[in-house]
Amino acid sequence: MADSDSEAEVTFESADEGDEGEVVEEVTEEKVTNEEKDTAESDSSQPQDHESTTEHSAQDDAAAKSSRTEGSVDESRTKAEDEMEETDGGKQDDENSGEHTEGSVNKTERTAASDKAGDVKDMVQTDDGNEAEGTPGDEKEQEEPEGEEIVNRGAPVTETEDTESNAKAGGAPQNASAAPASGGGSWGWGGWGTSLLSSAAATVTKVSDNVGKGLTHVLENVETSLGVLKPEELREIEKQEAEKKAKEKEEQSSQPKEGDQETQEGDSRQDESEGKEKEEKEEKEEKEEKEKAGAGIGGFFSSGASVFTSAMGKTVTGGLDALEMLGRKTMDILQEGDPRLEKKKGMVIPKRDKTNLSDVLKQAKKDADEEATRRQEEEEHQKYNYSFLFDQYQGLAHLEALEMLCNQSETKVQSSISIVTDEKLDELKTELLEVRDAFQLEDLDAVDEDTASDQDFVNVITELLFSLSVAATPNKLQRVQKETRDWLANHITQLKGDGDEEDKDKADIKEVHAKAMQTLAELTARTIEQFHKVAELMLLGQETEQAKAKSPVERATTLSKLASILSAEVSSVATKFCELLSSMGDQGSEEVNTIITNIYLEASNSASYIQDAFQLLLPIMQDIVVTTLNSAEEEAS
Amino acid sequence: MSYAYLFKYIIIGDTGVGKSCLLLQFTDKRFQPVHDLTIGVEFGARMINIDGKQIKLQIWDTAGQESFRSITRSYYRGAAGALLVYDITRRDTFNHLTTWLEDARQHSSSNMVIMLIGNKSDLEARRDVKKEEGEAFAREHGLIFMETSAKTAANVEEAFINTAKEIYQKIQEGVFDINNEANGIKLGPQHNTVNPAQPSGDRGQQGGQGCC
Repeated sequence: MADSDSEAEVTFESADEGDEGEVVEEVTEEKVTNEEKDTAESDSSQPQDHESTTEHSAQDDAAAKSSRTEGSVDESRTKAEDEMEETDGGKQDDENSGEHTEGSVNKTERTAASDKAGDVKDMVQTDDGNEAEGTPGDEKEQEEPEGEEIVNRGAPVTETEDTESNAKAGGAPQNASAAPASGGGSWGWGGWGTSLLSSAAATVTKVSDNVGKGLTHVLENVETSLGVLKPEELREIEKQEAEKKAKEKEEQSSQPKEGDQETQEGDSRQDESEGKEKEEKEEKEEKEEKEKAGAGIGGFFSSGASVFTSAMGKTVTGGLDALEMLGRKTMDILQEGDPRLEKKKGMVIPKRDKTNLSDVLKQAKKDADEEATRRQEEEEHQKYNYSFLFDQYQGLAHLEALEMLCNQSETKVQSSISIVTDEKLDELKTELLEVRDAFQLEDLDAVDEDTASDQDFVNVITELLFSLSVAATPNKLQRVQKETRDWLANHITQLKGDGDEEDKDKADIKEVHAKAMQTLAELTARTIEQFHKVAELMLLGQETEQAKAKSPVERATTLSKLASILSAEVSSVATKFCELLSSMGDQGSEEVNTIITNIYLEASNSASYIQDAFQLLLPIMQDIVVTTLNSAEEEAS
Repeated sequence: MSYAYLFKYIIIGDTGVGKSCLLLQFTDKRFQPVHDLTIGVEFGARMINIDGKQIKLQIWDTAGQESFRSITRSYYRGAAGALLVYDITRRDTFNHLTTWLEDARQHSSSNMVIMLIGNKSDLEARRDVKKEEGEAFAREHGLIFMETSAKTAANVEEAFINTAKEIYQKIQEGVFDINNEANGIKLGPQHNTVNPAQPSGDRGQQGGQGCC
């Protein structure tokens, strides 16, 4: 604000600079005359030129002060306001002091316009011997707020001016409400200020309109309040003082008319220089005011009042002009390269529909959390998911590979049968059927007893594999089986040790469930892998002497045994897990029962996988039969 | 784990070129200098992400020994991608490429994406096959080419993932019929919750189809 103030000042200053010097000089002259009263008339008639017109009309102290104010208005509208204050105080000045003041003002005006008000005050204070000490202090107090108000809002300024003019006019205080009314800012300047940016589009025009309207209002207010005195004590005192002075200067009552005319002239000139239509209006209204004031109170008084009012009006106009200027400039700068202020609007007013960064981040975090939770659940679920675990142990892959071998062998057998001669066909068919019959799973219960101990299981498997004349060793199967048995044994002893704790049971039940699923899946997968390897090796090693030593039917029987043992092992493991579980929890516990059911279900799945894999071996075995037969034939021939 | 697609890969090539090591490096991110001879086929699986889609790679690591050729041939079927591996320090493995390629082309889908891999690139001092030769072979036969090192893991990820990208692109172009499992591509279930009883049943059916 301060910056713009000074800017405005500078602008005005430069605009009026040419006239300034003269004005001041004349002002000085005139004031001297006016204030001295005697010479006032003759002096005042002389200078009719320039902006000083208003000042010419001024005959009393108040007028003199306002003339000073006028000068400052030319240079700096804001400062003018300060000076107005000063002027109020300045009423108390002697005429002599007025002279001095003028002189000093004269000098200061030329140098620094912004300092002018302060200088004047200083001069007033120092030169005026009679000056009441309290007044300058008041002035200073009022100085800053006043200045700010002018820039910020038009309304308060007007108010002050109104009251001041009232005070100066010395008119009867009739319309106390006038000031507050005008000060209420009913024409929405406050709103105008804040909504400046948002009402971007035709703002410039609006601004000027507003200013115009505002001006009218101001003038109206000034008008209405002219005959009015605001019953504020401070003003009252000032008024009284003003009245005293007015009485002293009653003789000069003849001057007002001249003054009026001069004022008009001066005003119009100023208008020319400033090029503002509004001021013309103002002028007229000022005249009206003066007339009114004159009618209401004595001629002299009215003249004084009118002068002051005109000064006030100008001040107001000046203030408003400064504001308008500010507004225009601001808008110009704002609209530079952004004609409809779209960009700046976007900058100032946050767009609601656009998602901001924090929202995006929040959403991302939420998604990540959900994903993590989902994964965790999935992983948790997978611990108990037999199918997943089975796939994890490549059970499905081995099954698929075995199936491919099976398909290949099947095709081979089919084609062989079609080629074979009739007499050979019977022989072949018999052997193929024998092999097929051999591919029946033995009674599981019978085998179960044989695999009671760990060592038996491994021995039996190894033995069977050896009898298949295959180099495959059941390393993986053995490892799984051993691990499982060890684990079970550990847990059973553990259970006997501290099976009382409920919490531990809970955790253990889950653990046992997971372990059971994992064991079943791994055992099944390894079994299928074993079958797969056996199939590969049998197909690969058909030509070896070892292979020939055993008939396909014998091998088939061995494979059946192997399958039975492996199936039995799976069900045995399942049973052991279930026993462990039931010994852990209450028999009636739903959770335990559900898990036990689940384990038995998956155990039966395992058994069916193993049987399926086993059945896939049949075509391979038959393939071997055919190949063996063919090779035997070749040998024979 | 849920996935959008499952691609079946097959790794082929002479014995000792480092097929199993490549797989181990890709799935487990580790290197094992001494590896047992692969019997028939071994498996590995890993999830990768292409274009924000989860793709499960089911990798069939075949035995490179000549004796297993008859068996491994039967595994070519239904592979979407093949990694044809040779050893840059052994020219004979490079010379056998043509045979491997013929085998692969004969027993697999014509759309199968084949990536030629010159492995053991860490053994630069013992290099026997120039990179340019590999590039030329790949260009000639329409393969993608890369030199990798299963030991240092150089280009291992890239080899598997670039193959997957190529397959994925072919899917986008509509070259692959994703509903035909013979192409080696399966649409993933939302969650891999296959009814345990079901797959075996399916397999039985497939077996029936295969024999006809």
